[in-house]
Amino acid sequence: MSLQQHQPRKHNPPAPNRVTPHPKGALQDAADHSPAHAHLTALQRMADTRQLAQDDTREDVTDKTKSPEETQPPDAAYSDPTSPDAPADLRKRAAADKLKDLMAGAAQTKDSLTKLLQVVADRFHLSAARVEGEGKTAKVALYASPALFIPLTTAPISGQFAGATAAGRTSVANGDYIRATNYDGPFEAPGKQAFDQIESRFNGVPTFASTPATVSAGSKKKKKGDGSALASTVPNNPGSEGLWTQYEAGTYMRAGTVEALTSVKRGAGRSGTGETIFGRFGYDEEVILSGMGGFYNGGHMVGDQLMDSKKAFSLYEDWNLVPQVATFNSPVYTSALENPIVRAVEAGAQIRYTVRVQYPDSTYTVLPSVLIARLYAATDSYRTHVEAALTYDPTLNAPFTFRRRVPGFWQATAEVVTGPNISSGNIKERFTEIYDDDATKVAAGATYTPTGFERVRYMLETDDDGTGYTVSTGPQPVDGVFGKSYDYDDQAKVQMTARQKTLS
Amino acid sequence: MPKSAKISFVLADAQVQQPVTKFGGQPVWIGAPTWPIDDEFGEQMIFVAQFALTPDLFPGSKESVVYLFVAASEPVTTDTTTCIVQSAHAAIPATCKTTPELTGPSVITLRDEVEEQLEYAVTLQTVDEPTVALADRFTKSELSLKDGYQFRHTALAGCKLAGQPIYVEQQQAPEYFRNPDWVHICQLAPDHGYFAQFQPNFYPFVLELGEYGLLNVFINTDGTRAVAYVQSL
Repeated sequence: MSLQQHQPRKHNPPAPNRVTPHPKGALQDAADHSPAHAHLTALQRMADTRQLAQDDTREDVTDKTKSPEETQPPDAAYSDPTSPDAPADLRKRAAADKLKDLMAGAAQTKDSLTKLLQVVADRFHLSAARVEGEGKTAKVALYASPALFIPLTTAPISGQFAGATAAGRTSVANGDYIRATNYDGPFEAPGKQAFDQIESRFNGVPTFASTPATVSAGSKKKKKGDGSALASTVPNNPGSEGLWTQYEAGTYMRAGTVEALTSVKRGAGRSGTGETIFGRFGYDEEVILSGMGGFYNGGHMVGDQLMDSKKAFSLYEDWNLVPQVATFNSPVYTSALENPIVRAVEAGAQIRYTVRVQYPDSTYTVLPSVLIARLYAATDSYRTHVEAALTYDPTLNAPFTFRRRVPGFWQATAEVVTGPNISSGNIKERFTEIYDDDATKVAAGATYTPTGFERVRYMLETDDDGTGYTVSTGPQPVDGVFGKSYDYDDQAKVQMTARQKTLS
Repeated sequence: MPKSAKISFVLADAQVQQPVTKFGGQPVWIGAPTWPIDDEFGEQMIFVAQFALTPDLFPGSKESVVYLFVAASEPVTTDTTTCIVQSAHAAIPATCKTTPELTGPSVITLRDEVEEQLEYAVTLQTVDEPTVALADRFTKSELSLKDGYQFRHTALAGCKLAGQPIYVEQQQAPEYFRNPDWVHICQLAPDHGYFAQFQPNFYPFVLELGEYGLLNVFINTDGTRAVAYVQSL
């Protein structure tokens, strides 16, 4: 290949995250994931900024699954808390101080406080800054340290078909396998979680549907509803919701790490079905967190075209599927790794392939008042009723909790065990998937807050002789061809490390 | 009323040698052979189909033929498709790298797990479609992950030439679907359902469009550029 571009430097492969299971195991209690809080009313009066800092310095619980040196240099390495590379704890403390300054001791409306929170979130690269709870229970929550939750399990799952050994499949005889070594769950679909929580919270609750605006929050004189207690969302709003998975009855595991060895490719035609539901998990997570969806489709961690998936291995297991930015799934992931692996296997190679993903957190929370506005139009009668009920009884607005489904970190490593090395074709530059040759920008512990069209940031490393990875310089101008591209040729190991946009 | 022609695939018992609509086999060039080259690996792309733009369905089409190719990469996406336009009346430059090879790879068909190079002629049944706004042609409730598509507007569904394309991605549709400067040439979509033994039930050859993916081909009103768009979920 003529377009290969490599940086001259080499470095040792990064040490894998040493995962120390939390005593509770992979599945953390939802309560563990709520941030430390500062009471909003107290915040408004607070004279000593340290109090907020102390209240609000914890990172996501998933930090417990790694040693600090694995994700961030020591605090002493930083003096600037506005640097995206500064430790999360430092950024959160600085954000709390800055918020106090901006409030200047004045009482804040919810709107003005929301704007101030956005200011500090942007300035200190927080993954979220928001008010949680209502009235006297209102708190400011500052979140940082993204892409750190790692599903854990103690029991690998094999994807080999029953009977494949007895049938004498060539791939199995060669020692090929696929197995999940990290995963958790199974969990319900995000849309189902949303509807279950809405219904559990609001069914039968009295409302003021006719004139909700006349009901003042916190009124001491309790008023009764209009007699039309809230009914189920489902029969009232068939098909009108902004979600895909609200009626999905199944439960699905959450992928962590999948390991595979392959020497036989799939061949023509797909070998199964089932990825679309994972794209919808991503879509629904977007809707729940932003009101709009469309970035993600369902992606394989190990693609079914890479293995003997028609005769020996199931590649459509839930532990091998995740929401993936659609244009990252294809053409970036296919060009950078999957197509080269298929061609190497076709040429006689046996490839060890490991893919692992991490998540910003295990769970996230959304206030019912926010969720209902994201799911239904302002004129929707069910939304009107729920909002009236919330006005009547603000305690109903305690946050809903959802299982995170979209991973924020992705790493895939292909290594030739026997046979010819791996060569890519031209990997084209894209505006939504940005190549970066700086490992710190794609590391699992680094802050990733893409702007504009960017959805993914990734790097590619190759090793042709087993002495360590070389980082590609990425897309370069090509004479006579529109856009930039890059490639690699005859490599024994190839590793892609990527950060994927998630919402909070 | 918009007019379309429903496609039925007919296994050809001999090589199709006329510039008529067909799938598989080798392209019947009406100009100099211009076989597209895949950007990724620099190889000849895979020939899928040729569409003869006849005046009955495509008024003012200048007797053009549109040739559809895909890269070997799977799944097929919009990025891995290319269309070549040729006209009996004018030389139309290709918008991609090409080679003057007369023949090359074409779509295969799986029969009893054996890959075969088969060719399909088409029979066409003209349909007068009721006019349906783009946003109303599909709603989420018309796709079940268990049973596939259950289109409400059955006259718009299925594999067809011309007519109104169905858009299923639930986002802002690309301009090809919205802009009258683009004319719909072909839709590959099921009448209902989607899979039969993990393979799409609406065409007989192997073309991996992703789970529940649809394919539409458009040409601009100048007749100088055609595009294929793969709808993926």
